[in-house]
Amino acid sequence: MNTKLMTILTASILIAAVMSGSGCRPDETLPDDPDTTTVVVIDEFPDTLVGVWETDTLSTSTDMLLIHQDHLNDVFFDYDSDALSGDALNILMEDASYIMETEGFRVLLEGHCDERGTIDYNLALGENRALAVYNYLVNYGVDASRLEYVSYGKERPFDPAHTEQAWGLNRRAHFRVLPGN
Amino acid sequence: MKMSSIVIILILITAVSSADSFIPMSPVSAECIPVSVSVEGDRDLADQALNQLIDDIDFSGLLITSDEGYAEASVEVTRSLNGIELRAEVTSGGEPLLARNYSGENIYSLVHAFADDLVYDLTGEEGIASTWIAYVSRSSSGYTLGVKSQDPRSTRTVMSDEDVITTPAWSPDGDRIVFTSFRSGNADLWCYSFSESGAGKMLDLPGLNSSPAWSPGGEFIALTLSLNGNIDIYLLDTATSDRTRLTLRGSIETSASFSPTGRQIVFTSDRIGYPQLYVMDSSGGTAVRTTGSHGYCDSPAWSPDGSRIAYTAQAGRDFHIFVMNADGSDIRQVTFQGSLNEDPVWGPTGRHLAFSSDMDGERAVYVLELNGLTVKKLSDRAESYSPTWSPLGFR
Repeated sequence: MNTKLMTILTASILIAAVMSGSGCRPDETLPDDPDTTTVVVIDEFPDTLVGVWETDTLSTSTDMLLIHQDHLNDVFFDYDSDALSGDALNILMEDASYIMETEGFRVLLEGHCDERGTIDYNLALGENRALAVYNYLVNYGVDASRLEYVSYGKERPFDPAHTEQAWGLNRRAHFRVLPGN
Repeated sequence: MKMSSIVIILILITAVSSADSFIPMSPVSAECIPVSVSVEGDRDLADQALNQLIDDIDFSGLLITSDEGYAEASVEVTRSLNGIELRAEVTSGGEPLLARNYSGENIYSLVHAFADDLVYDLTGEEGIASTWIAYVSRSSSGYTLGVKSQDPRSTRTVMSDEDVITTPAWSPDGDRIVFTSFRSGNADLWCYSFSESGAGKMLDLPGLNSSPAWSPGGEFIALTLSLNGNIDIYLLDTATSDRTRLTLRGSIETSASFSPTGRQIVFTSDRIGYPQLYVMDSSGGTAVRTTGSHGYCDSPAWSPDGSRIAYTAQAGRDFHIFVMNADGSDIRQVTFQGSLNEDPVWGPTGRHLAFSSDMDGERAVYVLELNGLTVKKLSDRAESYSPTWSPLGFR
């Protein structure tokens, strides 16, 4: 309860700070005015203000899901491309067969990019990579209800190094096994 | 003979149009008003105050510290029962210009308040010393969204998560920062509120809900959605949550930024095969390409006075920050070091940029004053990027 009170207090101070804004500056200061204005500078917010996430259900994985994870292989892309290479198609055929033959899990297809280029454009490029894999799997015959896709852009690299080798590893569509059917 | 001269001409044309030929932005610091400063009082406080005041003045882009100033600022700092008192007197040639006392808890906040008043009283323009910058940091333990003042105080975390936080955008009223979080397994749009001290989910359509940009009045957010496999820019009404699709192409459209009137949007599209910048009406419709001198371009940011656009473009193997007129003319290169300079955002008065760069190795957030071209490292955390600047009046 104490925390809640603190939050309310903090909120009021913050609102006051935001509202006062430019009001900190007196409108008129006459150069020859003998009385000196005093400005009270309200300080921003306490050091310990870390925000709370609104409640949200987060999925947890089990040992069985890890086994499925081991059977699914990621595919890799060329720089600034969402085209599926011959190697990628061979891997995707095996991935598709495994998903169709095995029940009890769903798959989140993650599109990833290397660190070259910008955050915004790479989020879009990663989306197109994940979508290319999604479309291939659905066309192959995988039930679309077992698949989801998401783009991480360049935000969560598998190898954070700044080398050609790391970039090659990071340009990928990653199969992440989720619970469900 | 004729053949070889054609070859030479072709080589010359290629050389001229190569990325190295962009004109660097040059400093014009001669316009600054010189100010001399002295600080007395409690020794530790006085040292901190003097260093910060010099920093604030020299980074204003409007004033510059000098031994023989047009204006002389005398400051006295003391500790009191309520915190700290800062008394400031400014004279010019013996004539009083400004006398004001500041009281508060933190010496840096007091100095910033005085520095901004000094800028305003001497030039009639707003100062930015009191403003804050938010940015994202990545470490082995996860991602944080933090806010940092322009002084030695360390970054305060506002949100922290194991999964990705990216593309934050500070609201025009100062109270909110919208950003993309992956904590629910999708690139959802969340909104942090300082007054509520927490973040709530704002939009969670399948696929991307990313790269948000506030309209100048805060009524709308332009953002990137990937409905039906098409990556396009949409307008979100923040009051009703109504969505309007602004771009209709099969190509990638992203990275929207509003003009200060709210009537136009500059954005990135790869409709010609690689990302370039385009301007369209903020209700959608025909888009006009504004970049033609670069390859890869992205992350446009429209200046607060509407005259210029800052953006990232590939120059050779590297990415650098450029500033051009809003019609695409007069391109100036702003960064020259590092291999990845990106995500420029304007300070609220249009005299500064914040951006991320790997110029010192690890990616970090830097602030740049455009008049004297002074660059300072702002972030104090591990790998840091995606800056967004608070509006004026946020303390």
